[in-house]
Amino acid sequence: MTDNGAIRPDPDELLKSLQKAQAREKGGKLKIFLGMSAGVGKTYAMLEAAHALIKDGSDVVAGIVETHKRAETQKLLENLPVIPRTTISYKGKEFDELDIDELLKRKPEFALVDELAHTNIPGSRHEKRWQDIVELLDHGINVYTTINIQHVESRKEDVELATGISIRETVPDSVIERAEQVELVDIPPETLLERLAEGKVYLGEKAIQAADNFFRQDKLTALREIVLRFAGDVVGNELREMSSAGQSAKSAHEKLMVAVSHSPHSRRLIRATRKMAFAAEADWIALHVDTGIVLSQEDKNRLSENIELARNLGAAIITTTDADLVSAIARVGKQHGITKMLIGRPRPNFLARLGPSLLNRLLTETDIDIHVLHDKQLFGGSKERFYLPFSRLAGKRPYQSALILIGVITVLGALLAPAVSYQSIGFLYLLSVLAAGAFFTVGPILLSATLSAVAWNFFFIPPKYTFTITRTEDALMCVTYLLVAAITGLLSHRIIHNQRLLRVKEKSSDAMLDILAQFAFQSRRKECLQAVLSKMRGFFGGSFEVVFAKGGLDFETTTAASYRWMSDAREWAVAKWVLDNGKEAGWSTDTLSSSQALYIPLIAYGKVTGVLAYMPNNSDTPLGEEAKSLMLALCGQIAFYFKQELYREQAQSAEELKRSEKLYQTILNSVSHEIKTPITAIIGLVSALEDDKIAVDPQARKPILDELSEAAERLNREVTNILDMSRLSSGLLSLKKEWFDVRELAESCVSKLSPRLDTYKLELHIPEKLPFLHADYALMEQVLVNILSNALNYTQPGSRIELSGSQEGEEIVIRVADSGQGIPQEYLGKVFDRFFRVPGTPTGGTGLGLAIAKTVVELHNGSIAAVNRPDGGAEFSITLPVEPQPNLESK
Amino acid sequence: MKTGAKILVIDDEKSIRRFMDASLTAKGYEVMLAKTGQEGVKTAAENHPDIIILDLNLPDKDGLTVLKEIRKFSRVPVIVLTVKSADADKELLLDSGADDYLIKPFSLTELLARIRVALRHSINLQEDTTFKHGPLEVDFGKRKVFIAEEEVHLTATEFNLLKALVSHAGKIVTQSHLLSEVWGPHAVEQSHYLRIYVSQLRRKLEDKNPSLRGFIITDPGVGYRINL
Repeated sequence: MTDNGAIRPDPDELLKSLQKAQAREKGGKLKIFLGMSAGVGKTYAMLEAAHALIKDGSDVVAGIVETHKRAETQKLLENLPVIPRTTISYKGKEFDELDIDELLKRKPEFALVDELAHTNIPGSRHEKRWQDIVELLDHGINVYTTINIQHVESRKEDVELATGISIRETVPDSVIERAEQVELVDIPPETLLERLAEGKVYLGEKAIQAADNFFRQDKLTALREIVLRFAGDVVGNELREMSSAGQSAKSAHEKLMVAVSHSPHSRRLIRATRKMAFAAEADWIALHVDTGIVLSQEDKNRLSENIELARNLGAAIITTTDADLVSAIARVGKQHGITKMLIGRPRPNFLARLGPSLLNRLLTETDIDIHVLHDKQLFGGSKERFYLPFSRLAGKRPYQSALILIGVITVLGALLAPAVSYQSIGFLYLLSVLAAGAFFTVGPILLSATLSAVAWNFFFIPPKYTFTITRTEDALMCVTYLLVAAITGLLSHRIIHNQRLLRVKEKSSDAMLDILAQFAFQSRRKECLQAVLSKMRGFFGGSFEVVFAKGGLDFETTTAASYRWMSDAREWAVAKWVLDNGKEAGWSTDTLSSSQALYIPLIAYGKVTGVLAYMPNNSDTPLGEEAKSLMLALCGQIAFYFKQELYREQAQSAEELKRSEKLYQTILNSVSHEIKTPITAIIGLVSALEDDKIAVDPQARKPILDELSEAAERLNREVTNILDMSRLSSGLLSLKKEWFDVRELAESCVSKLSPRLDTYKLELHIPEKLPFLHADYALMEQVLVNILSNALNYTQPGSRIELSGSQEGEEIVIRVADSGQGIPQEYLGKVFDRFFRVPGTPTGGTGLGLAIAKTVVELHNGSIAAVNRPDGGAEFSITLPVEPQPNLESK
Repeated sequence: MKTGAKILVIDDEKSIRRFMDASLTAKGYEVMLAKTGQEGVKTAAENHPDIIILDLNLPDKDGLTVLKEIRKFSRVPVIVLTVKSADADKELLLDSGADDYLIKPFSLTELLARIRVALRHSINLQEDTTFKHGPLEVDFGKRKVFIAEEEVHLTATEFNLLKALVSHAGKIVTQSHLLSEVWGPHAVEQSHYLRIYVSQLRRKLEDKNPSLRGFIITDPGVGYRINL
């Protein structure tokens, strides 16, 4: 590596920037009108921009524009085409929302969708309007929208600090970053206050009270500063990105990480990390370490929220399991090349002082730069007390159990005291603490250690029933006991705990292996899928289905059971949405969340191949992070499998195509030869007739005319055969069955072949009492004619041809036997193949006659066979089932 | 043969029109030609042909429509030209008023035979009429059949069937027509009656005289005709 490595563009970086540019080109472009607060004129600016677009000849449609009945704004909206809002009723009230379906259908070049931060009424497709907008962008529609700085996720806290108002609706920065252009709509705070005084600012009914507090010169100035800084950041970033992908500070140099827990502090850390990553243009990771601590439902929910927040802010999420937080951080940090990490300032507590602090361990055990964030009174300190380590430990019961345990040991000790020394009783206590280590968490263990030390001292160490210890060795023993009990208790706890974690991990990796093995065991897609899904049902509970796209739109469900819920039009619509958009939706997500099931896209090589649907047994229990990661991993595997399958199928169809091309070639060769022969004859014979000498000589004309007629007949026969074959193989043919007598059939065939057949010795053996056939007469006639003419083609005139019919059990057999050469043994099986002709035999057919016969007979549930007779010649037999005979009433 | 009869040929294929024109004119008929269905209907209305040869596959409207339009004002015999794949339509055509049909390709001999039959009026069956063809003699008054002057015993159904066939001798008689004439209107679906009785009838006639083989011709899926 030379020095110019520094200025040479990093290929990864280039690729990324190219991909980003491509995504932008493919998707719609987003323009955001940003303001510091309501009333600065964002909507007005947006409408003005829209009119400029219309002037340029663009197709602009207003999806949602909130004019708040301001005359000048309303006037601007008048000349714009507006998509009517859709009405959604919720809790008995009607609400207007953006009609995203209509907008997608209309597919304008530009759509105006006001208020990016708006939260949709439950029952809408997405929870948030920004999700609607992302969907519009993904469908190639350019969107103009508006937002106030307070709703930008990463600036939320700055705003809260500046104004003291808590903010609920926020938009992830990743959405803002998607904007091609952010236009700052700025007016000085004084002007805004004037407009407010004139009543020109709409604040909403509820907000009026808050307004007094909010619209103050000092607060507005602070807000303005925040918005200007933000706009500066965004523009700066744009510039850096545009100037050169290779020279940016990003590359592999910086990578940030934040540890996410269920603590409310996490949110602040996450936001701070994001800000830092954004400024350094670095990628960042949010790491959640499951240390096996049992969380309350409230904590679990907060953890999910925190992880979701990090995801929304653009972090890569990593979840890992490790009893030791620091070692997990060190491991992940090493794996992902993390350079910086943010942690909150450790709270001083006596436990932390016992061992090396988290911070110390992080500094010594990892290579990561640690940034410590100071606590500020943001959320009110009172709440934090609930998050002391002990309160994490589930419920009160372990403490009661610990108390009872020590009580029992004390009673036992009292019973034994007369017989044994008080030192031995100490061992009894130690045993109980060891046991506590196996069952309890840290708190109860320490409690039992302390309690047992106290009880031992009080009840057993002389002087009894006092806390005083007279002998130095007893005092030493008691303190040592406490330490030994605490340490052994904690150690045994850790061993058991690690084992449990290992078991959980093993269980999920076993499940994964077990499920994945199905791909190898089952060869056919349907069975394979069913096996995988049934394993998944076994592991996760609930029910799973896979719907996959066939040629883009068709759905094919794997089991009949899935029809029950997949046939619900709403569920179906969600699945289809996921298929079209490649994002998860449904239950436990924030898109179409009223749906009963969760839908995860199966994506392989960037292409959505299908959708996995998961219907939980109980939709009130959320899916844990761990289960979800496993499910997502499995989805990846299924998608991959599908894609492989698809390739395999493509390869197969390519093979089939090759085969059919070969067949086509054969057909072409055969047909062109067989058709050209009579045509050549016809052209030649007609030109002969034009000859003056022949024209006047009837004797010379006669054989020519005979030949001409035969050539025309032959051409007709061949064309008819080809047409019949294609008609038969099209599958569109319906049988016109009638009752008839085999003898009638035979005789009409004989008369059809009359002049030619008359030169042979024909023997007809059809008994009087043969049952009637129930078949398509015209087609059966063709079968017999084809077989008879085949016999005529391959035998000499004057030889014997035998046509017989007989009943054999429940079948009627019609046989045509000749006394020719027979069929070479190796070709017996092939004579019914299309376009097959025994090599070296005279021409005179397309090789379709017998193939047609076979097709027709099989359409009648019969069979056809060719054998060589022992006394020479070939024999063809048609076997047809005897159907219950019709009732004949004679009149 | 009734020479000088006026024949209208409705066909969009030039080569078929030329072939018909040349060969029929040579046979002494007066030939009119029409390229489209509309032109055909107009010519039929204005010039009163004695027979119409109608191709089913016309560019402007299908043959069945043309047939129905012609039938609104004329009972002139119509022979339709069809291709084999249209099997199912034949019975419909015949029941819709066509007198006969010819499958393409066909020979001039076949065409002339059909024209002759179509031009001949149906035999007017008086009770005392007899039908004679070769060795066969059918006495409708006495309800008796003779072959080479030897009586052949037929059942009542067989006789009625033969009677129905020979009264339209040379023309195709559809299955439904035969069934309703011999067994009554309720029997039109029972085509197997026909199969079986025709087969019995053939056997009785052919057993007496092998030259009668092929006297009753089956048109698969359509009906029967007497081969004259």
